[in-house]
Amino acid sequence: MSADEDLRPLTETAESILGAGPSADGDWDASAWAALEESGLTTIDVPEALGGGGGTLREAAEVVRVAGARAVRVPIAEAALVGGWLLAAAGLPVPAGPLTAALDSGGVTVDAAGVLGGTVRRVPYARIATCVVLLADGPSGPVVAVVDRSAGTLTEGANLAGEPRDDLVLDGLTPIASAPVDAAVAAELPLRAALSRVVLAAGAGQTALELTLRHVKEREQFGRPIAKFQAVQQLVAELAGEVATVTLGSEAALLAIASDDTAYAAMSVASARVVAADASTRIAAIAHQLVAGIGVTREHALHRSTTRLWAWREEGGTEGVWADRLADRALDPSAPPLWQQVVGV
Amino acid sequence: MRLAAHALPESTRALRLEVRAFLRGEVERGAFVPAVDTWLGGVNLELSRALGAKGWLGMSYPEQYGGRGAGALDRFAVTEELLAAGAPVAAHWIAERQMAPSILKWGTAEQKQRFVPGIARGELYFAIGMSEPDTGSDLASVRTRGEKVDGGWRVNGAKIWTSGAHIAHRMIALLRTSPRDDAARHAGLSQFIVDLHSDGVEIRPIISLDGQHHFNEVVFTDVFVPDEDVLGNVGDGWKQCTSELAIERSGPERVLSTVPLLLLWVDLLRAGTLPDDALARRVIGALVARLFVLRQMSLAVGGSLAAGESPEVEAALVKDLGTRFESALTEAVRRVVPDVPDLHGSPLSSMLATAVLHAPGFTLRGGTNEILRGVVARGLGVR
Repeated sequence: MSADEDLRPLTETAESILGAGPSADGDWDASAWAALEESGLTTIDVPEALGGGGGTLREAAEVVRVAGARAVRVPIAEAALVGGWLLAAAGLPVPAGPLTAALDSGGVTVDAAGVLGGTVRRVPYARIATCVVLLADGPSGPVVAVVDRSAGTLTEGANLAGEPRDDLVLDGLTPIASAPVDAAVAAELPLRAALSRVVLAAGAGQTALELTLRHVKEREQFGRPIAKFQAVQQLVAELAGEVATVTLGSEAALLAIASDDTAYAAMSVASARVVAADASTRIAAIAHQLVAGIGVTREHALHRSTTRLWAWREEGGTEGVWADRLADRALDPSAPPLWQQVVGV
Repeated sequence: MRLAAHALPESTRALRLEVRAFLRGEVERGAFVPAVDTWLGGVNLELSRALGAKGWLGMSYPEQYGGRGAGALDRFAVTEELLAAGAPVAAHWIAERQMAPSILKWGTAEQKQRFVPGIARGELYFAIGMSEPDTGSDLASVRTRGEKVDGGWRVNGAKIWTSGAHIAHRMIALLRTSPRDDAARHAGLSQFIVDLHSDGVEIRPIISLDGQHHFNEVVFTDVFVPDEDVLGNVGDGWKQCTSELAIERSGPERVLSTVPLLLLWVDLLRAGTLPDDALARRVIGALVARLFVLRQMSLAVGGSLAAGESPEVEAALVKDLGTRFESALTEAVRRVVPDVPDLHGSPLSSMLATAVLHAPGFTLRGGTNEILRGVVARGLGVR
């Protein structure tokens, strides 16, 4: 509870910057990004010496949660939870301009001369970013590379919510900055990427719940608000349960990832990821069932949350991929027994 | 509604390991066979007393009443270990979980001294006296009545679905002590600590789907209950009972009842005893993820209770999710493993069989999931 109290000023700042409602459709929201950057919220947990905000992971995640709730079209999850962290791990300064990061840079290489090879796929908001931060496989281990987006060949794509997800061909490019990092960074990158989607989903799920609550209280049928019907109340309660699941999973993962126990951190992120994706499916289904006809139009705000909840399930690894990772460890005879893995003792 | 993630205090680490090692030893010496849903079906008086002797029952009770004055989260950790080990804990479960806390909250000094130390020793067992043949979800409609007589009360009526009444010494019964008033349905109810060995108490077994005797109907015919066995104030029964329900609904047993089945399956796969394939892995990963997060949610409710809050809505929400998981886990395992559910089969078969046959109860006991969702809906302002 106290963590909540500590975060309140930050939450209020982020909410006031990101506006009362979801931002309009379009490639991206340049003014929201500028305001976030000006307030130092885009790379909040990067040390100040590197040009970041000098804050904590929990603070960075709170800004991302609010952005998820407001369906803001900016690469804040990528900058705040993935890119900034990669830069800090490599000791590289935060470059100017909109920043994004590759959630998965599998197959990208960097040779001894520092020349990149390969293609990063479905990079969030690459088309509007000045720089893309990614992790390349170097001759003697992983290397964090900052790429000038305009130097690469870009193919535009989008996810189900219409958020830009662009491919970038890197062959022959030299990064504008790069530095080697420990293998542990490469191991943690998928966790960071997955966690960023869970935190976003916690925000979007909360908005889907709020929009649904408003609708069932206002919409009248048979002479009364539909909230008066038990069938509706039961679904609303189930919806709230799913939203609480994503939120708590996200919080527990943030708590665990800040601890020294890397195995437990991996367990908590993977679990939150699987459960958040499952819950996202159910949240979108119930919200659309209750908001009904108007909810499946672009006129109503609900789609901004639900299409994101659907789209984010695939990003940073599906629930299936992460379930398999959990199972691999559960069934590894050299790992502690499963119950010990679950409770961390 | 607010659930905040909690980490268990460092003090629980050593405690947990101690309990785990003890239980492993008990299994190795054949004191019990791990099973599912043992907080309903696993009666083992020797183990209950041993846990009491170790100081692991009533840990959070004050020292003067046989407790350790430990934090509620210490009890949470011990409870989790007992459930994960599939230990037979039903005998003392209800007394230790909710009756001693109720007596400590509402009882007289004499009642605390008379009942609580025996509960902490794992020797004195209690039954719940809420449901009646005509009173299920609508608890305020209880009809079993207490009439004032010289020196006490005369009780007539019946309670039902009373887990373990046949081994319990006492029941805390919710009775009607003033005529029903439809304008004030929660008034006129009182709680009594009824001696189940009194004249006029008849305990009729009810056999469950698994062929076992867990439940009873307890019939009261002119049973005399002395004044000193009234719990709290006459007329305050509803308020007292509601606070008892908050404890009853919030524990880790609302998530972990079938977890021994998952743990056994995983152990068998790790040992190479059962076939390991992509489907099994996918199912296990999904179950582990859900277990991990639901346990965190249960811990969040436990942490909130330990901080002195009243997370009634949060507890209802987590119990709804947790009890559905208990059944879903059973069905997910059943679909994949080659073992057929059989009460008298292999360890995995018999756990599966018990889990399937107990599953309907998971989402009924302690308040049906539909009632729980009603509590959540009210908390969200849509009821």
